[in-house]
Amino acid sequence: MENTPLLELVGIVKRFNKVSVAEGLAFSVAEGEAVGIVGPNGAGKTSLFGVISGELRQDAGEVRLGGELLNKRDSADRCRMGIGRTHQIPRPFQQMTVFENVLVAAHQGAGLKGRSASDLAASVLYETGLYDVANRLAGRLGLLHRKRLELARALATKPRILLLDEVAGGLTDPEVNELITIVLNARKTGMAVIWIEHAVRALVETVDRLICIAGGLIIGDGKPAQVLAMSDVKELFLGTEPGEEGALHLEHYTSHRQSDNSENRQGS
Amino acid sequence: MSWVNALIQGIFLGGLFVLFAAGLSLLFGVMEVINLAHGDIAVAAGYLAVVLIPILHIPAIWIFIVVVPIFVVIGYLVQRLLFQPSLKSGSLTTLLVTFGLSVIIENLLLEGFSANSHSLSIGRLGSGAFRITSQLSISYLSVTILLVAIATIVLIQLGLSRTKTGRIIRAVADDREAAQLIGADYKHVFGIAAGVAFATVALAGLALSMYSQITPSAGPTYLIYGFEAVVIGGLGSLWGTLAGGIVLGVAATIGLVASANFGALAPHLVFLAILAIRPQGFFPKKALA
Repeated sequence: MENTPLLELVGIVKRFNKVSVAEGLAFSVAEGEAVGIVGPNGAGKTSLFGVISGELRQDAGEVRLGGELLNKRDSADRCRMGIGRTHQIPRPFQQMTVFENVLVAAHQGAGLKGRSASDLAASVLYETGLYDVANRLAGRLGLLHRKRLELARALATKPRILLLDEVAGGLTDPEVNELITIVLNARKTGMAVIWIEHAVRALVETVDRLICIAGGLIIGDGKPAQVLAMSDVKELFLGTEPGEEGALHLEHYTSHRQSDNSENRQGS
Repeated sequence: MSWVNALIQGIFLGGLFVLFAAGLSLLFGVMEVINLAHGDIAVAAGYLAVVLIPILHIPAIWIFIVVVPIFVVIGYLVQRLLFQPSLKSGSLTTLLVTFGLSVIIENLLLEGFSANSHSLSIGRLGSGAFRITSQLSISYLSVTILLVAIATIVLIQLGLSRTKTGRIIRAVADDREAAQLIGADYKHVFGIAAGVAFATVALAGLALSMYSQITPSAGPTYLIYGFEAVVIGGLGSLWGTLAGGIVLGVAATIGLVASANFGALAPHLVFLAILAIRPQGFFPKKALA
């Protein structure tokens, strides 16, 4: 039972001025596990990804991957060690083709060369439904394709754990379903996933476990159905689908939790 | 006939300006470093050749085989140790750092070699020429410099678009943070780009010291030509830089035909005119591609 978890966070503290986005956050993710993260805007979900991927430095606490302490590693190191991440707003290399975008990820992140790199790039493009636009400049893609490319590029680094930041945001239901299929297929290789999403439906269909974060604290962690049934979590979502109305209530909640009422500009 | 002659000589002189501009274009395109020491680095390469040729007993024309690799290493180290730390404090700091480097190089050269001019003698290649007509002849060296300049641009362009290293340089130039998230060590990538830029500027310095003469203070003059070629061509576009350098070369030689004193001024006037009419340059681009 005492296996080292794949990813381990211990006592993570992160504050932006007076706004706290993590107050001693601690959880771990096992090899191959899929974890969803929900929470109100400004709860620190995206900042948490920043801390895991190395884009942000936590004020206190430890991040470990496979038992190895990551605190001193930069984001490029962490990617090569097996942490892949997508951004909520896709950031493709605009002047490069879709294929090249994925190819550099296979070169740099997965450490592949020559034929094996282009083979990986091609298979990732195929899985993510980008094969037909492989030679198009990434800057010319529409939103769905950009979201897919963001995912494809992260997959091409051959991550052991993939951090997905609202890949379904702004997409229609059928488009979200396609993305869910892509993620489910990618998981078959044994890759772990942490997925932040406002569209709870997408999460519940995909993840093994749900974590609810608010005000920099974990207020629920367990099976998706159990977490969504918890009274604290219910208070956040008020038993509604997390639409516009839900979001309003969530913000109400955070302002209660924090003495400082200022809006956190970081997460969303 | 002298106008035709001037036009053709100008195209070949442009090759020298292109060599000066290629590295500037690359440094700016990849890491947005404006290197004010660029001209001085070229001159330093010329002086290194002046020192090394008698020691190594290599014909002057082949000295680039030794000097260029040395400048690749210097470029990588200067980027990692000098430019990189300054990038964090903003582009103005980097500009000041390169300006300081320029002053230091000029004064070290002055200390080591006095203000006298030096040049590299390359024998027949330097004096011989293709005679096209009785009034038009083109020196072997001019042809060589232009060919080297074109080859440099083509190789950099091919390298950027076709090779693994080139692709990651473009990715880092496009979005440094996103490139880090796919595992790219951007500092190393910057170092490589600087190494390539220094290699081209070393070639420029060697070409200059074969074509003409170098003095410790010659750098800034050629820095200006380099900048102008980059801006005329369009920032970040290497093909534009090639065109820009040739335009400047033609302006210089045609100006010289018009009046002996006009040769140095004409390229700058052409530059100003193009800047007024088409400030984005011939082939503007957002990033290297």
